[in-house]
Amino acid sequence: MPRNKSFVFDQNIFTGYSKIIRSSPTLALKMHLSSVVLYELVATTVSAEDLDVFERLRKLHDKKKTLLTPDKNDWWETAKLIRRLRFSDKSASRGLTPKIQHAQQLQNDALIARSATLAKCYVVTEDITDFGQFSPFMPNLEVVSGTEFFGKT
Amino acid sequence: MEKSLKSKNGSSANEEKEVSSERKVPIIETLKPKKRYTKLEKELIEATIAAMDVLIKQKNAQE
Repeated sequence: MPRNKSFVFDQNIFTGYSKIIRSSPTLALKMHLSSVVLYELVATTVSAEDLDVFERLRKLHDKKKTLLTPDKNDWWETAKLIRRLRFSDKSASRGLTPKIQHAQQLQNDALIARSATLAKCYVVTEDITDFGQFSPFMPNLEVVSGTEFFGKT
Repeated sequence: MEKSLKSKNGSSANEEKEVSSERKVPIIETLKPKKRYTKLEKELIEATIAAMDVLIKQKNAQE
């Protein structure tokens, strides 16, 4: 994977590696921010002061054109992907896909994966297995673990 | 990533070894820092630090 490629952090990376992210300005400039991840983060914040902080982050990423927000096509394609996973359709490239009972829970991950792929970014996440299920449907999807990205902490 | 996905699907031990040795250096250490920042970049760095401070504060409160 090209080291100069941009990346998208999953929610669990922001919460699990916040101290490292804070101490590395390079990360702030190289990353794209997913609106879905932002939603997950903001949904857990409570104070008005905290909301302002994330609002500012959102606006700046929007200004820099690094805010990834799923559009109507992304929602439609993601719905089809989740449906395929749920009903165990054959994927175009790798044959049968295992049945997944909780496929709808993967909706956010699928939206993150799709928008990252379209922006030519790779995803950094602790949920390698969940994201790995999308690979047959997103051949260009690249997923990296927190350990691989940050090293052992 | 392509290699790691392949390895999950049953590649050889040699391939596994190749992948693990290739990834000894964490990606974060390969990212080149910029020497000069634009105003927007400075603001983005400050905003990211502030957001991470919120997450750190929340984590500390939970522990």
